[in-house]
Amino acid sequence: MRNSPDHLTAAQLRGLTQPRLTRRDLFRGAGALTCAGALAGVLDACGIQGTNNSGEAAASINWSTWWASKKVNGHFSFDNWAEYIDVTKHGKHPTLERFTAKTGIKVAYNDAAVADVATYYGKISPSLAAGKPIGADLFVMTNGWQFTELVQHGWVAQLDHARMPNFLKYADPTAVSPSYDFDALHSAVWQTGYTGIAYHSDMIEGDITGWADLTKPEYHGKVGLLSDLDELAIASMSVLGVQPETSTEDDWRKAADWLTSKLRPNVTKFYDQGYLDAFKAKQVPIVMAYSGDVLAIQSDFPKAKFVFPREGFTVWHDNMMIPITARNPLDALTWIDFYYQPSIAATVEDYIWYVSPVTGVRQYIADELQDTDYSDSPLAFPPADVLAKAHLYPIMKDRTEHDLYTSIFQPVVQGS
Amino acid sequence: MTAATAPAPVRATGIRRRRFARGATPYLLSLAGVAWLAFFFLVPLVSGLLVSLMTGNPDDGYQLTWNWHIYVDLFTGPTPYGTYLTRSFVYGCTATLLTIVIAYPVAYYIAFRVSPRWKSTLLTFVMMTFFVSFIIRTDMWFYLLGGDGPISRLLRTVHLTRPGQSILATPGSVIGGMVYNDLAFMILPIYVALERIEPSLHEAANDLYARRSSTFFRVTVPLSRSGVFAGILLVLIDTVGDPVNSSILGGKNTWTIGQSIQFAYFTNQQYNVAAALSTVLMVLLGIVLFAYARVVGTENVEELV
Repeated sequence: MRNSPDHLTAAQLRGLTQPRLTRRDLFRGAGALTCAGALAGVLDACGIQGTNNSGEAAASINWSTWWASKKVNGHFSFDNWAEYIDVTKHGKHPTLERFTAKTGIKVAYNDAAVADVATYYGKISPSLAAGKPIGADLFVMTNGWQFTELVQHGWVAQLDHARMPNFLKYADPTAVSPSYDFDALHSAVWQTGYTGIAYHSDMIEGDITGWADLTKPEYHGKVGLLSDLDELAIASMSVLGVQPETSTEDDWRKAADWLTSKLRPNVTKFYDQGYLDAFKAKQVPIVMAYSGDVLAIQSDFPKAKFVFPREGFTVWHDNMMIPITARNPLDALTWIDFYYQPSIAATVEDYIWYVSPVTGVRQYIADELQDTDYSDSPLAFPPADVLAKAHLYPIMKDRTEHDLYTSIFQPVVQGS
Repeated sequence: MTAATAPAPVRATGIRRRRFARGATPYLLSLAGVAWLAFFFLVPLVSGLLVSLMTGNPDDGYQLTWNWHIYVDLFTGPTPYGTYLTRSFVYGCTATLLTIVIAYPVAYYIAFRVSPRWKSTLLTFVMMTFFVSFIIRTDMWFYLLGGDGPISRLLRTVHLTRPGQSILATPGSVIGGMVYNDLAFMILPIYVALERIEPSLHEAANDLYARRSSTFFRVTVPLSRSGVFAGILLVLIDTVGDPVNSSILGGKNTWTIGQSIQFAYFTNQQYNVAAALSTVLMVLLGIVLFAYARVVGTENVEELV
């Protein structure tokens, strides 16, 4: 090569001898470059921030000044469970319309925004941890682990009772200071209800009175359960005679064992709020169900029955909460207070058949709305001896315990 | 070597500049593509891998501790991720095979047996399903297959199922949903591959006294290989990682790895577990597809994808 032959031009020679970019080189170079870039970028900000200390900031807020700095914007959005407010045939919500007519505040109501507590919490908590709005100014959260997390992290606004005259006047004694939220500082009860068993009596043989009945061989493949771990835990612990409120890890393991070995063989599917659609479509004859859901459809399904399991069952409270990052907190607060009037709460209640946190609702429905089906129903208002078997959700003392509890019960739902 | 062959030293700088420009041009031209790939593929990939090596929980936060052991823990812990992973691959591979079996005749028919003026109409029919959201279509199957739905009533009337028995909430309904949802992804690439086969090749095979079956197996099938491979890429990756069909059409024993990833990420906020599962899934899919490409050969796949 040193003595270049004459028949090669300089250009040809350059082409032959200079290093050229091959496709492989290109990929190699690009790969190395971006790898380095990605590594540098990620390592720089490595780790995902925890939320342990986020409660401190909220604790130092002066709530009356906080509320004083907010103004009514004329609209707010409301995330709720499916079929959890009054609705007409045309899909309108009369109470929300009355609210808008009275106050001029429009409501963007998100029906079925919540289908399962854990999933909804998983959806909103990253935004709240980042101090960002979650899209809703008001949401409904069940008392349980997620409720406590929201309060302890300072992710929900403290309610200003000075702006809630109706709440102070009409809130039921049980709603004034619930066990899970001292003095109702962070929440206002939306509904109280029970988790029991519902079945189509025309689709199966025999009567069902307790959780243990669901393990009978003739119900093989006919049982639908909720995927909510707390509900499964309480049902199984009730069967084993354990008090959920004081249960231990050992009890949880035994309960999960009972669920897996005894009840699961009969189960066809674990549902979120979608169980109601499946039950109404008669896809599954026996379901673990929320009381009001089933009572409200009994006029369409006269053969559908709801029972309070003899071994014990859950009583839960769904609560309205305002995220601290809400854009329209005052509008949402105005609605909470508006709801706490017997006439309004009664209209909601007459559709959804749960238990209202507002005093005088039962009376109002009997006298004014003249719906004695609701006001006299032993299923909507169980007698004292039945209520004695109602349990609250077990309380977890910290994240480690919660993770343990979850890891014990989760395989029941997901299977193996 | 290059220095020795460089011509007169007077023009050296000009040449160097030109040489630089020529060397840099391909890099500059590929910059947009590289940036795209980096931003939407490599960065997520690497950060996913890094997140999987973190430890912690949502309260304490997650720190990068290079916890490689998670890849062992996943398969030895209380949650049987190994089972879910295997199940997902079984569902995905079955669904992919079924789509090939169904899609190939359809594509063949449209490519060779239909007069040209009907082709676009038929192809529109194939793509018609995309006009409705995939979740809604899957949800409709939930009602069609359910207890009182028309299909279960029909099956009960012809005594294919016992009363009270449901085809919903079984592996069959999940795989069926996958096949239904992904069929077009198989038909279209196979159709494209068949369409570009020269008709003269078939004539040549005929002239050489090939029977119609051997024409099909020795001419048509090998030439459509790249289309099938592209279809497999689209369908297998989609179905193995899919959480939707199994959660809507599935039952208690159809939990898949896609659902696990979704659950770990969105519900439990175990970001490290979710990232590790995604990494495992991606690596396994990569191995399967690479092995397939090696065995079957895909020299002309780049014409398609």
